[in-house]
Formats: sequence, C-alpha cells, structure tokens
Amino acid sequence: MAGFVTGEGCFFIKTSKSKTHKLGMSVALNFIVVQNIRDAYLLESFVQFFGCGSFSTVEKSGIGRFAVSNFSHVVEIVIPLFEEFAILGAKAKDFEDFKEAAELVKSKAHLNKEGLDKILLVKSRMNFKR
Amino acid sequence: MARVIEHFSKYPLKTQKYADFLLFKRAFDILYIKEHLTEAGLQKLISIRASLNKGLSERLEVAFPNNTPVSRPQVPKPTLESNRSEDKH
Repeated sequence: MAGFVTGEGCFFIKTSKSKTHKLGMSVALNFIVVQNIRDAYLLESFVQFFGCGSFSTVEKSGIGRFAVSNFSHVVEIVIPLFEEFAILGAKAKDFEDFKEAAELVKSKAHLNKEGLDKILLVKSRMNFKR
Repeated sequence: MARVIEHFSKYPLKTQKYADFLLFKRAFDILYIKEHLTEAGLQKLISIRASLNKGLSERLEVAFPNNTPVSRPQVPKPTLESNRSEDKH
C-alpha cells in the first residue's frame, strides 16, 4: 500500500472560503487516490482496507477515486499507517508537510490568524508547488 | 529482463496493468526462444503488441494490416490484506 500511494496517492490541504468561519476560511485534510476506472474494484476495496474513506467515480473523466476527508480518520488511521510503512521518494516530503498541517489543525491553530497563515504557508510549498 | 519478470511473478501486480505484464512475459518468451525470427513468430509477437498498453502504433498498423490482437489476459479480482497484517512488499 505504501508503494502504491507513493506513486499514485495525494496528500492535500483543502482550504475553502467560508462565511461561517471567523477567519473566512475552512481547512480540511484530504487523502486521495485516483485511478483509471478499469481498476475501480481495487480502489473500492480501499474502503475496507483502511476502514474509512469513500469511493466514487467520475464517469465523464473515466476515473475512480478513493478519498478520506474525515479529520479524525486522517489523523488516527491514514497518518499512522504511513508512519509505519514509509512513503518514499519525493512524496515523502509532501507527507511530512501534510503531517505538519495535521498537527496544527489538531491543536486548533487553524482557528487563529497566525496558525492559519502557517497552514497556508505549508500548503503553498507542497505538492506541485514544490 | 528475466530478473524483472521473476520479480513481478513473485509479487504480482493488483491492477489491470497485470494483464500487460502477462503479455510482456509472453513476448519475452517468444524472444527468448528466438521464435520472433520466423514469420509466424513475428506475427505472434505483433498480435501481443497490439493488445499491450496502448496497442499498435500507426507505423505498425500499416506494416501488419492483417494482424489480429490477442485477447487480454484476465486479472484476478484483487484482494488486500487487512491494514494490520500488511507486509512490506
């Protein structure tokens, strides 16, 4: 699984504008794996493997998508698994950034301006912006 | 190349790419016994190539117009061990 996710997975800090949040922005951590729809069955079985997350398809683009967006599931299931079975290569850095953001959210730092800025900084330097 | 094939035979892929691996292996066997040096063997090799990955290139389509692609091998339904008993392969 760690090898597959090193190649195909994505650790993503999702920030959205929000009128119901004091700082005008909500923060969520997403773990996503996307594959061609031909391997839908495999991704579907990830739900059972992880014991969390959900599977969906986007017919238009011919893809299947496994995603964990529940914060406690990300922190209690996804992160510990990839701490035990390491993500290798360049994506290891994205996983480290993802973990840093998770710690900030866990300590509720995303609810004050300073903490939110820190998370935005982490987001701005990871994945394709690296 | 034999080592690569040996490795992925021992640790089979769980995705549809496994079908490509099986075709690749079949092509390897043809080359290994030098069957591709005969007309029939070469046709066989092209038939495999036609089902492998994205299929024949335009150039090969033109060169082998009467070719029938082999059927793609079945990939067994993947099973994942549960999260706790996962080994490191």
